[in-house]
Amino acid sequence: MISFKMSPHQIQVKEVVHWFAENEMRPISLASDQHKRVPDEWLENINQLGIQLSTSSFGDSDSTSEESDQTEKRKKSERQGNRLAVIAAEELGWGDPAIALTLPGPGLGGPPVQASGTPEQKRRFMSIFSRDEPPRWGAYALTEPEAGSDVSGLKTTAVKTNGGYILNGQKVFITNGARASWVVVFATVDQKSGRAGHRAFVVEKGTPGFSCTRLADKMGLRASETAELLLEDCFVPEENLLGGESYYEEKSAGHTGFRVAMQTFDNTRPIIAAMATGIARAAFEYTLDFVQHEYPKHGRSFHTASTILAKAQQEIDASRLLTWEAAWKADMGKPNAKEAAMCKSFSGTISLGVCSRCLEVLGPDGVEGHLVEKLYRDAKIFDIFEGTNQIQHLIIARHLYEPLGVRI
Amino acid sequence: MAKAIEEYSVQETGQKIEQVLNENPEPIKEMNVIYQYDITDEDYSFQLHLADGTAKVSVGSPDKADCTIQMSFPDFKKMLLGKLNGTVAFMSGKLKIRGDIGKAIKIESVLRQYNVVDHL
Repeated sequence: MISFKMSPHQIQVKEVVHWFAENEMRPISLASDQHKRVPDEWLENINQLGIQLSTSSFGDSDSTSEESDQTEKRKKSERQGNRLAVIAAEELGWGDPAIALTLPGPGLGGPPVQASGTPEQKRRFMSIFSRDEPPRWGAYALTEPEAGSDVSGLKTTAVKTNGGYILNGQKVFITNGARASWVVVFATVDQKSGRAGHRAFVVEKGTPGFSCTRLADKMGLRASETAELLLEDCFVPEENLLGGESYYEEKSAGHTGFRVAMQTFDNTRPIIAAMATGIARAAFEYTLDFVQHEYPKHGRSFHTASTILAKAQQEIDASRLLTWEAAWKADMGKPNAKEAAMCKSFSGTISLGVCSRCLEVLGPDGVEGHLVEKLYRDAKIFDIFEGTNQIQHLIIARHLYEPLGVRI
Repeated sequence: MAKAIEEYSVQETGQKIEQVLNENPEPIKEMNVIYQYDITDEDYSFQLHLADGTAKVSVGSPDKADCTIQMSFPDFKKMLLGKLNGTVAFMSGKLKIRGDIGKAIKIESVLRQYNVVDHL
């Protein structure tokens, strides 16, 4: 019943993505961190190769042609899309997490469009990502200065007007928010009604009243763009309300902007977890090699380093298995919110711990302008973004205890 | 008017690739590599030898290939016509690679520089 054996296709994906991480990402990793930017030329080349960051890259067949006769096949192959995504994400995290998040494509904006968009919206927003055109990005804007973990406190407003909505508000910490061709923006049509009032809009770059006010200067993931966005009397046409108005009218279906936002996380948290596992593995592998070559082969320091590395390996393996389980559940069409929260919080925590202990083992060598030093800075955000660890534990508690009648 | 690609046999397709590459060897000038294509549904293999700015196609697997690409004939034709993205084909399991992965990525971008539709 339980198999930890990877299929030949999964092994191939792991090998090829690893090749990419080692040969394309690593060579520009430290320089991109230093310059706080992934080189444009590199992104153009990568885009021409058809490499994109999209949760739907896996198991998808020809995306434009032959939609109908491929549907059957697609259903079949999509069943391992989440597992392939976490396998690939671990390798990308190993290569460079900041560059991974900057790969062209819909990014975090993809899942809400795919899950809640009308067929017309999916076509309109997803078809712009092509290797034959300049690289493009999508983004996902939920967090606000006063609403991060507490999503129900959203302050960005959407007021219905003729033919659309007027949006007002501010969004912060938006990955690829400035370069994105469109951003999925969450806003409320009625603050009093809490989550039920939430709506998801696709706001296109260049829309009057929509601007990027600042790029954050961060501790880690420096090469990744983190934008602050401002919406000032920004008119968004009705056809950019994700799912259309009827989607939210059917109250019985339980469709709310909040649901749209949260469903995204069930798909993306395992991917973020896998990247964190990849970061930990990168630090671990570097340090293992260092100890093998630089440490005397006996004595107390070698002994101590060996046990530190053994513990790191144990945590990396555990975090991978939790992540695979969350992805497997998603592939099977089973609810995975609890597992997604577990793997996300676990891997974020161990990633930071592994990097920290690897730095200790490396000693003075790891302090300055070093890969592991960078990984340590990059790792911290993984226990914050996509829901802090505190939020993950709240989600886990709800799933565990609410069925028993305990209200949390 | 030449035959449409749909009517090409796998042998003819290989010969056509050789001819087109040699007519305009600029994109393959710097390449020194042996590719092997295993066409899975036809149980047929051919090798593409690129050396000194010339292309040579040979049937079977006479030499040790740097990189082997396995896919079905319909998918192979779609890729030549630009209707199937190599990365997508790979991720969806339609294409398998053995050997040097960097060279596999390279050949796709090289073949894309030839407007194959004009030749087929």
